[in-house]
Amino acid sequence: MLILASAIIIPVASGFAPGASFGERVLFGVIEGFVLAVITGQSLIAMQRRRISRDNKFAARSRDAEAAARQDVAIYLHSAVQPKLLAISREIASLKTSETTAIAERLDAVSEEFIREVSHSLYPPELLVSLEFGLETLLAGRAELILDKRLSTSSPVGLLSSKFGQKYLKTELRLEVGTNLNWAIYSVVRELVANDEKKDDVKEIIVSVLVEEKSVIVKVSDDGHSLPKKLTKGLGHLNVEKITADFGGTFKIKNLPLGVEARCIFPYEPITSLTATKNRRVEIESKGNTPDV
Amino acid sequence: MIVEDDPNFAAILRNTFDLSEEFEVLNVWNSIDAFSIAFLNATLKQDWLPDLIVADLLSGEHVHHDSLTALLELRAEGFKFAVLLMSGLNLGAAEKIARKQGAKNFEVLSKSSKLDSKTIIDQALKSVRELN
Repeated sequence: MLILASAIIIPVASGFAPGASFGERVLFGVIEGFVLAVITGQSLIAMQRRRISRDNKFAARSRDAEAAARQDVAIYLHSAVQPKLLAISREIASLKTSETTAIAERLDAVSEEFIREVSHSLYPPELLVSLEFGLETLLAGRAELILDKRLSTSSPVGLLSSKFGQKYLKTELRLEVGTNLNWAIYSVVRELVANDEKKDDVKEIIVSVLVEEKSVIVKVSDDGHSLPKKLTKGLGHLNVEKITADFGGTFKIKNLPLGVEARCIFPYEPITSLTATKNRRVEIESKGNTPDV
Repeated sequence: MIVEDDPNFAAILRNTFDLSEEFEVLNVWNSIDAFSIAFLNATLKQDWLPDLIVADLLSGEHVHHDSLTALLELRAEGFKFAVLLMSGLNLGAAEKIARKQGAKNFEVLSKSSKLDSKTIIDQALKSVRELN
C-alpha cells in the first residue's frame, strides 16, 4: 500500500505538476518527505521484527537442540550403559565367590552413583515416564504434590475408548506436556523446593502444577519465615528466573500470610495425550514391531 | 507375557519363569508399543491377555510411551491382569501412582545384580495372588 502511495505521490511532488505554484510545490515536497519517512520507518520496523523473530527462532532451535542432546545422552546412559553394566555385574555375581560378589557390588555402586547421577543431571530418566512420575519421585518425603488431574494417570488417555464405544469429553482426557517443558517444570520445582528446604523453620512445602488455559502454573509454597523487604536473589532464584524466561514464562515470588510462594507461569499449548499419541503412531508403526522371542 | 527391551534381561526373565514351573511364558515383546499393537490387532480381547504381565518401565519406542501408563490405561478400561513392573529407577512413585487408581495385583521390582530367580518368582506370585 505504501509503495503504491509513494509511486503516485512522489512523481507528483517531484515536478510532474508543471502548473503548480511555489506553495503547492513546497506542499508536495513536504508530502513526499513525509511519505518517504513513513516508508523508511515502516521498513525499519519490519526489518527489526524479522530480526527479532529470526533471533527467537534461533534461540528456540538452539534450546531444542540442547535439550534433545541432553536427553539423548541421558537416555543412552540409562538405557544402554546402565543395562550393560548390570549384565556384566550379574555375570560376575553368578560366579558366587566372595571376591566376585564384592566386584559386582562395586560395579553396581558405579552404576548407581556415577552413571545415574550424570544421567539425572542431564535429563532425569523419571521424566521419560511422565511429569507425574518425575515429580512424585523428586518430591517423595519432601513436599506435597498437587498435580492437575489432566496431567496425571487419573485422567484417561482415551486410546481404547473408541473401541469400546465409550466417549470422553475432550476436557476429561489427559494432557501431554512436551519433553522440554517437562524438564523446565521439573527443574524449577527442584530448585524452589531445595531453596525452601534451606530455611530452618519450614515444616511443610506444597508444590502445585496446574494447567490454566494456555499456561502451566507452577507454585511452590512454604510455611517458613517471610521474605525480607529488600530481596537479593540467590543462585537458585536466578536459575529459576533464567529457565522460565528461556521458555517465555514469568517468575514471581511473594510473601503469604504464613510463608512464601514462588510462582512460575509457562506458556503452554494444550494437547491431549490421545492426539499426541496418534501423531506419533504413524512413525512407530512405520518402523514395524514384532515380538523378539 | 514379558515386555523388556534389553534382550539379555528378557532372556533371563524368560528362563526364570520357564524354569519356575509356576508360570508359562506366552510371549516376549521388545517394547510396550509392540505389545500394544499386538493387543489392538487381537481385537482387544481379555482372553488374549495373560494372568501376569512382567514389564520394564521404560521399554517404549518413544519417550512418552511407558509401560506404567499403558498397563494402567488397560486396567482402567476393565481388563484384568496382574502387573510386575521392573526398572533400574526408583519405583516408589510407580506404586504411589498405581495406588491412587486403587490398583491391586501390582508389584514392583528393582533391577540389580542381586536380583535372583527366587525374588522374581516370589514377587510375581505376590502380584497374581487373588487375581480373580
